[in-house]
Parts: sequence; C-alpha cells; structure tokens
Amino acid sequence: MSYRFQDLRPAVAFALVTLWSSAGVAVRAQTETAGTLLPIPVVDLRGVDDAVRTQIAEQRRLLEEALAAGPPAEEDAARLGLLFGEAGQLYLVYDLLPAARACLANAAQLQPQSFRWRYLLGSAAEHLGELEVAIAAYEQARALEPDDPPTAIRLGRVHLELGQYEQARTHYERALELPGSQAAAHFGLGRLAFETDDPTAALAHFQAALKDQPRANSLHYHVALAHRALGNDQASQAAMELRGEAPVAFADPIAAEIKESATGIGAQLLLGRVALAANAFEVAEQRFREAVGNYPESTAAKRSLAAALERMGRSAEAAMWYQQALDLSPNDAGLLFQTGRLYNAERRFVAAAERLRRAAELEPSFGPAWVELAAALTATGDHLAAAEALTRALELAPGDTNLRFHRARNYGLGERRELALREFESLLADLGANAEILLQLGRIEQELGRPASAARRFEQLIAAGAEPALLSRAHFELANIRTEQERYEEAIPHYQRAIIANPTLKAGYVNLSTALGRLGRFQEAALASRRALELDPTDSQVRAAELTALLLAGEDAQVRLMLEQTLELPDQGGSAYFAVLLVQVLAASADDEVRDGERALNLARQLFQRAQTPAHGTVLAMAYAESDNFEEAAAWQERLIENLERTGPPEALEEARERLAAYKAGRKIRAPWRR
Amino acid sequence: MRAVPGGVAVWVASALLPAFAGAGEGDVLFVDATRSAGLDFRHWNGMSGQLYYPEVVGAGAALFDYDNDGDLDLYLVQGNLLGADGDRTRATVPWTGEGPTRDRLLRNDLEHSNGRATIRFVDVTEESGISAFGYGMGVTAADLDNDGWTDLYVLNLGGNQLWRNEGDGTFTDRTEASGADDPRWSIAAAAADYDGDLDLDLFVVNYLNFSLITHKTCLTERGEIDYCLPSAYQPVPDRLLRNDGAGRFTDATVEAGLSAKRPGNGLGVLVADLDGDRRLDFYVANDLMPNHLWINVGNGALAEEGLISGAALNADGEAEASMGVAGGDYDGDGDLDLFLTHFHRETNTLYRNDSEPRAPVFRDRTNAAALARPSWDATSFGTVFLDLDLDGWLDLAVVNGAVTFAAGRPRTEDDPFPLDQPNQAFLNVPGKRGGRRFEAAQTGLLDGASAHVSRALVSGDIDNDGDTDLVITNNNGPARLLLNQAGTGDDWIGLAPRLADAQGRRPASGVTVRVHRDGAPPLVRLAGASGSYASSGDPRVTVSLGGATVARVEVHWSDGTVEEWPAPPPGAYTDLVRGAGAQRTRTQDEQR
Repeated sequence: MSYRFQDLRPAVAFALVTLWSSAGVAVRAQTETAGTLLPIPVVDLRGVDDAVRTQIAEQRRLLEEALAAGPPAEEDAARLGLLFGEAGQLYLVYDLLPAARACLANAAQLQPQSFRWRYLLGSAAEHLGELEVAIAAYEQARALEPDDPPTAIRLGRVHLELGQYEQARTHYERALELPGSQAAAHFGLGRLAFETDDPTAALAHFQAALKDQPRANSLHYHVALAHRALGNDQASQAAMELRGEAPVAFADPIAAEIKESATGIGAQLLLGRVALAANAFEVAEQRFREAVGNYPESTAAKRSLAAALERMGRSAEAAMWYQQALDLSPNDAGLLFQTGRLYNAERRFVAAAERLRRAAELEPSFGPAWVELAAALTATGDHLAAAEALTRALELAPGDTNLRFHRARNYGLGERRELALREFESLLADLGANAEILLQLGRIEQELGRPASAARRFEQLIAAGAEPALLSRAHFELANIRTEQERYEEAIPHYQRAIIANPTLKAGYVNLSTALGRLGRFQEAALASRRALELDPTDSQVRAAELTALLLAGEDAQVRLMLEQTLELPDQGGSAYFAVLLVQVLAASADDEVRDGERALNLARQLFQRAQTPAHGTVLAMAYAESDNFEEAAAWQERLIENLERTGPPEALEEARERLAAYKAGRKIRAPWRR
Repeated sequence: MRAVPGGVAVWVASALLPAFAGAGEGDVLFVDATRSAGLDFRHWNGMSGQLYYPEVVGAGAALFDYDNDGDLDLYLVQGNLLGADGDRTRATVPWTGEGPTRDRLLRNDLEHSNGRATIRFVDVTEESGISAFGYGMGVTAADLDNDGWTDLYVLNLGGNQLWRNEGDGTFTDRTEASGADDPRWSIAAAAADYDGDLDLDLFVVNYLNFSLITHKTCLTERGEIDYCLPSAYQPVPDRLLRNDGAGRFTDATVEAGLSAKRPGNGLGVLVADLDGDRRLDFYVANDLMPNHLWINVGNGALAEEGLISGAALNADGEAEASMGVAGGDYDGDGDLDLFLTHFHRETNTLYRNDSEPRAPVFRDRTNAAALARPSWDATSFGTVFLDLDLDGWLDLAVVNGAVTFAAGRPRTEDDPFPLDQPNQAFLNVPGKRGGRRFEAAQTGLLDGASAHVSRALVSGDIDNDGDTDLVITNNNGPARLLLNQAGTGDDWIGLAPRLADAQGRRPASGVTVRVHRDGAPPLVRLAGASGSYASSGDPRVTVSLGGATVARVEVHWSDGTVEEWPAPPPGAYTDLVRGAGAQRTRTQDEQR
C-alpha cells in the first residue's frame, strides 16, 4: 500500500529546440597561405543554437577573409594574430577546445609578445588534459609576465596533477609572494603537503587559506581531513560541520574577460544561462533583458527572459514574455508548452488547455504536453477530453501507472464509469491492494448503484491499511453506505474512525450527527453537530441540525437561547429558517418557561409581512393558537390548506388538516418536531 | 607506455598490433575469444532519437557457476525499446536479433584437452526459464536462499527480478515472493552478509527518478541537444534488504540508517571490510554527488562516513561523477584501497586506505599514482583490480565510453553517435619516491584497438588457468570475451571461500583472503562478486605467487571469525569452506 499517485503534473523543465538541418560552416585549414600556422579543426555547428552559430560563423568569416588575402605581411601579422586570438577566446567560451587551442597557438605565434594568448593557450590545453602543453604555454606566459599570480597558481596546479611535487611547490611558494593569490597558494601547498603525507603542514596551509579567504568554506573539508589524519577526531568533526560549497577563488582577470569579451546574442544568452544555473537570478535577468533589447526579433532571447522570470516566481511577467516569444514563433511547441504550463500554475486553465493542445498536436511524441493538457482539461471539468489526452500520453509511456490512475479518475468524473471501473481494476491487478485505487473503485461502484460491491472495496482498503487521509475517506464512504441502508449502528463506528483518522472531516461529524439522531441519541447528535460547527461556524445547515437535535433531546430552553443569539449574528445565511424555528419554539415548546405567545405572534407577523410563504403561514397560525386566538389560528390554517391543496405535498396537507382540527377544538400545538 | 614484461607465455593475437606504435609480439596479453567461444550477444539500447537518459547507461553482466560444474557461466543484461510508441521500426538502430530483446544465460561448456582449454558458450536462456524482458541495467549473482545454487538478481529501469536457481538448470521468478522487488531505476546490487548471520543480504543501488514522462531535453552550452547529466533529475534512495535465510527479504533501509542520509545518484557498489573491524561495509559510487561509505557499526546499523573518512570527495574537495568502483590492496599494505571511475574532464580517483579498525581514513593518491592524466578525457565505467602481469601486485583495467556527445567526438552524419572510447589497462609499478604508481600497459585488445561504448567490465578465470579473463559489455554493441594468455603454468593458487552447507557450495561475498608467503608480505585479496559497474564477477580469487612459497592462507569471514588453512596445492582451485579451517583468535592489535 505504499505507492502514492502523484499530482497530474509532469516534473519537467522543458525546452523544445529544433535541430538545425542545414550544414554547419566549416573553416578550411589555411596552412598554405599562413606558413606554419596550425589548421583549425572543423567544428560541426549543426544543432547549435542559432545565435551561437551566427556568432561563430561571423568570427570564421573574418578569419577566412584575412587568410584568403595570402601570407600576411609583417604589419598584418599582428592583426591576424588578434583575429586568431579572438576566435580562440570564442571557442573557449563555447567549450570547443581543439579549435580554441589551435587558434590560440596561432595567435601566440603571430603575436609572440602577447601574454594573453599564451596564458589562454595554457588554459585550453589544461582543459584538454594536455598538461605538458599547458605547462609550456604557462611557462612562456610567465617569461613575459613573471609576477602574474594566476599563472603561478595554474602552474602549481598542473604540476601537482602530474605528481611533480617539487615543481608544484616552487610555483605555489612563488604565488604566496604575489598579491591576490595567497589563499589559492596556501590551498595548493596544503594539498601538496597532504598528498605527501605531511598533515601537519597541510593543516597549517589550509587554515592559512581559510584565514585569508573565510568565504571559501569548502576549505573546512580539507581542514577536517587534516585533523583526522593527525588523530584529532573532535576537531575533524567540528571542521566538517562547517564545510560548505564555496571554493577557494583567485583573481583571474583574463578568464573573467573572456566571457565579457565575447559579443553577440549567443554570448549574452550564454552568460545569462550561466547566471541562471548559478541561481544568480538578477544577473540572469539583466543579461536576458540586454539580449532582448539588442535583438528584439530573437525568440530565444524572449524565451530565456521568460524562463528566468518564471524561475524567480514572477509568473505574470514570464507569461507576457512567453507570449511575446510566441508572437514571433507561433508554432513553437516548446513555447506553447511552457506558456500552457505557466497558465496551469496560475489556474488559467482554459487558456492553458488551448496552448497545450497546440503544443501536443505539434509535438505529439512529447509526453509532458499531453499530461499537462490533461491537467488543464481536468481542472476545466472536461474529463473525457482529459482522458483522451492521457491516452495519448500513455501511448508514449504505456506502463505509467500514475497516468492510468488519472485517466481512470477522469473516466469516472466524466461518467464513463464502466471504463473507469475496468481501468482501476486493471491497475489493482498490477499494483496490488492500493488504497487510492480501492477508494476510487468504491466510489464508482456507489455511483453505479452497487452499494454491496462498494462496501467491499472500502472494507478491503480498511483491512489492508492506508495513510490516515485515505483511511478516513474509506470509513466515511462505508459509513454513508450503511446510513443509506439504515444500518446506523454499523455506520456510527465508521464515522467515528473516519473522524479519528481526519479530525477536520466536517462531513463526518455532520453525518455522524444524522446517524445518531436516527437512533434517538439526540444529545450525542447535537454534540457531533457542535464539532462540525466548530470547524465551520458559518454553516447554517449544521447549526440547524444541532438545534434540531437539541430540540429532540428536550433542550428547548437552550435552543431558544441559541436561536436568539444566532439571529443576532451578522450574515447568518439561514436567518429566515432560524426565525421560523424560533417562532415554533416560542409557540409550541412543551416547556412552559420557554413559550412566549405574544413574542411568537409579533415575530410571526413580521415574518409573514416579509414573505407570504407556507412556512410563515404555519407558524403564524401556531402563534395565534398559543395566544389563545384559535379563531384566527384556524382561519390562517384554512388559508394554508387551500394553498397546499393546490401545490403542497400530501403529507404536509395531512399535517395541516390535523392542526386545523386542533385549533377548531381549542387545542394548542406542542413540540411538533417530535413527530 | 610500458610493455608488459616478458617471461610470461603469450601469443600474438592479430593484425590489430600495428595500431600500437612500438608494440612487439610479446606485448599482447589478451586474445579476443568472443567468436571462438560462441559469445554472440549484442546489447541494444532501443534509442529512438529522443536521447532518453537510460539509453547510455546499461548494461551489465555476471560471471557465475550456475550449474556447479566448476566453471564460470555468463549472464548478459539486455536493453529494450524506449518510447517510439513501442514501434521497433522507429528505433534509430534496428534490432537485428531474433525474437524479443531479453537477457541471456550462456552455459560455459569448458573442456581441457592436451593442456589447452576450449570455451564454448551455449545459449540456455530458453530452457532456463529466465524471461527477463525488462529494460535491463545490471545483475548480481549470489546464493540468496542458501541452497548451494547461485541465484540471480536483475536490476532494471522499472521492477527488478529475483531468479531462483532450482538446481536443475532452471530458474523461477521469486521476485514477489522474496520481497526483493524495487520499482525504481536500479543499476547495481551487492550481495553480502552485513548482519553476520551467514546469509547474503542485498544492497540495491538506485539512480534517478527518470521515466518517459519525466524525460527532459537537455542542451549543451552551445544549445545542442544532448543526453542529460544526472543533475537534470532527482536521486532515488538506495535500499537494503535483509535476508531471513530462506531467500525472503525484509526492507531494512530505515532500521539500518540508510534513510538518514540524503539519497545519492547511485551507480556502483562495493562490499568489503574497509575499516578493518571484521564487519562488511558498503561503498556506493554516486554520480556527481558525494560517494557514500556505509560503515557497519554492528547490530544491523550502518553509519555514513564518506566525508569524514575522505572517501566521498576527491583531493580538491569536489564530488565527482562516480560510475564504477574497484577494491584491492594496490600498495600491499594489507588493507583494501578504492578506485573510482569518472566522467570526462574528471580524473579517475584512487583512494588509499589508511584506516584503523572502526576509524576509516582514505586519501586521494591519484596524482602520486600517475592515474590523473590518463583518465582526463575518458568517461570510465567498469573497473577491476587484477594481477595482469602475474607479479603479485594488483594492476588496473578500466573500460570507457562517453555518455554525452559533448564528452565524445563531434557528431557528424557519418558518425551520429560518437560515444565510443578506447579502454585502458595500467600496470602497478614501483613509484619514483617509494610507494606504487601505475603505467599504461599495452595489452593488445583491452586497451583500445576496437573501441566501443563500454560499460561493464567483469573479471573471472573463465578457462580456469589461473589468470584473470575479462568480459566487456558494450552499450549498443557486442559483448566481448578477452582471454588472458599470461597464466599457463602452476605458479598460482586459486581460492574459493564458501559458506558451509551440506555440499559446501555457497560462494561467499565480500570476504577477505590473506595469503601468507615465506619471506614476503602477505597478499590480500577481496573475494566476491561486487564492484566494477552493474555487474558481478568471479567469486573466487586467484593469486600469482611469483615463485614464492605459500605458508598458509587465511579467510576473514563476514561474521568476524578468521580461519586458517595450510598451503593449498598450486595450479588449482581449493575450496575454503567455513568451519573447515583452523579458527584463529584475534591479535591484540585487531582486538583493539
């Protein structure tokens, strides 16, 4: 019984992206015109985001034009070097490392005094795992700028990875002397010491790094391990408690500039996505707004902005930008889906259904669109259409029990009960005694007029056990069946268990009150109604039930007091009913202390003047009789009978005639509610 | 690259050799016996263009002796169609096999004639009664009902299956009756006696909350559609199933304390006594999340000590995308070290075990062991420690295959799924500053002549000649059998630790074997089938002696007892049945 069906909502963050079908643009190797320059590996750009592709293609075009002009003159070499360098940076941004490495090597060759290109060449090689190439490039960069802290840190790191500890130590110790890199240098030296089984030195370096950069709380992990290696278990545990995710940082202006220097919408969107991935929402929003401003015709920019706003919880703005993106690309299934999903979340189900249907029809193999559509249709009450959408989703995921469950529910709600029954029974066969399925089966059996079968389902559920909410529902439904069968003694314990399992089940108290009342246990019935009223003090029907039970229990004085208080309450929905009841109590209570004929008559007259209804006529006659004016009572009763003879139910007519006979005989009515 | 030393009998495999610059005939250690042994199995991942995550994850295999005839049979896990409305014609790569896709059981009809072994695998799936048609991921083989016949626990995307070995060549589905089902996406399991009652419990490793409905479309930073990373989904919890001794399982996940820890994206699992306290612990390789080290603290309770022990994160303090895990004493100091395989642009990671009893300590020694750079560009899965060159030191084998296009080669029309990567082998050699390090080895067929998208690496002595052979499974590709040609002499011992039953046939799992040699430190080996990736290996151990004389052997059982046996005969396997050896009391140091 442990399986729980989930809400009908696919847990997806989805973006439909159309694959590019056109061939990518390839840069041909131009070694014959550029002397010893390295060829640039062909990068296949099919499938790449159009903005990114455009940006890379533009950079390539510039390079191709420069290379087509033939071997560069000396004065042109620097310009060509710049073009290669910029292309290399761009490839680095987009993680196209072999192309980046070749471009940067060419740039370094054409601009031999450029520190930047050698540094970035080292970075590209390092990312490619070509550590010797990286070391060579970093060393050349160091020769140009011996005091550059990031170069020293990177050299230390690469040597460390190669297990070349002495070289690593040299570079880290050099970095210690340079501004802005002490924490990273201490961290490197700490790692080096730890790897060479010197935890004492490691601990000192990690602590020094932490002192220099307290925000780098990932260092606590290393401090903890060093303590443990030294046998300081308590200190180790304490440090581990402080561990976080923030790494040791060092200023690396060139790496930071790469992203900034890349231009075009692709870069802007990329930066935005990077910020979004880091949960830096405001930065992401700013990037995407810049992209939208610079490229107002870009669907991707508007979609990205909308997605960021959605992540920030600004649904209305997100919906607006999705709509603007849709205006540009009305048949973009991904956008339609995202918009529809957002509308669903905002409970704009009709609009959601319209968009989701279009999304699903455009991309019929995308299951979440059908599921989300089904959720929208379910909410609008179009259950058969929802079931149809779920059928489509199930064609994509035939074994998904959650979808089958919701389809069956929709069949049930759409009054295709036999279909629902079959589906639920099939699910039951697959999943065993599942509480939710048994509950649904019971309800459908009830709707089909099969109380015995329904009761068996609920009993099966109860026997198998379930979480309290489901157990409460089962007891409640079973109790209702027993009540309808007038088996009140059996109904009562089930109502009570339903209430125990769910103490806020108002209907449980109400129906319990009814069942108790039917057995003549009026005090208990009144108490049950009182509990229901405590849960919902505005429910006038429950209040009426409580009063009726009290009257039947002979608590007339209490009822009179409660009625008087009730009628003073503002916005009491059933005030006319309660006024009629009060007149009856004043005019017909068996308790002499409660009756007040004059007040009853005044109140009854007011009621009749307000509305000439049979109920008002009845209590007016009753009030006259209590005031010993039997003639008027009989006259009003006769008028009532005339009216009832035309429109009233036979049993009401019979009772009215009995009262007329009483009035004509000079008898007053007493406690008519006990009939 | 260093060549495998001479002095071992090898024979040249094929024209693949020219692919290795500088390699000579004596360099080839393995021959491809796939075809000659009749191993005809091709994994099918059922991809249909949607890039469903599970397509690139499976599948595993098991080497186990299902008919108790003394040789290793083979169970291979199969994939299935995902999505595409169930229409196989819409699969990107058509299914070319006969009938429906299903797991396969292959019987090894091993024959020895004139000192030469002949392996012939015969497909006995149909007569075995095994009908495993799910989307398979992994498998573990173990005697789960204590009847002396090895059963199978198959892990799937969806419900797992427990197949009970009836001892007559057939299996029956006992999934429901055993209580061992798990409807989630399971990858691997370890069978081990964690509670010391001498039956085998199950630790089931689950991965992510993927379904066709939760499927996501993921993009590279260039906006290309690619397979997702695990961060696109939510991890699902692992599960511990306690065996009642007759093959019925009780979910002990909560009572053991597993649910107290945030779930991980579990892919691999190893069972062994990792902290030297004579209780079996579990190490779980999690994908892009800290790995879990579940230290057995007794009374059925496990405590997660991955972080504090240093075994959860690499030396940079970063969680890596762990896939496979191997356990072995690479530095010969008597405890079991760990080797983890990872995603590209991460190194595979070697954790040296520096634990004291009940105080686990692991240190990342990847750089010192020279294992960082060789794995930088590979996405590695199955891995085993094995003595490739029979020098008594444990070497490493790793199989590779990308899971994203971004980590592979560029996609082209001619090469639409370029995820294949060469496999690797490393020899354990003396370090430059003491200790041990690893050098890439030329082993012919293992290290890359014909690259596939490899997943499971299953080791075992398939021809019973004392060296370690390999089965490699390939995603959407053929399974391969690589026979090791190193071991043809008698300078080895084979040990099969078994739990006692009437016939003494129940293979133990996760126990440690120590081989004491005259004038040399003892050799420690982990027996049992766990580790690597999604698979289950030879439960026996083979130990190369390098000319040394064995004084005695010792088994550390899962209930904490230790037994000794005199030197077993060389060049053969010896059963070490619990209760049949001489009980050894703990040393003062061990008691402490």
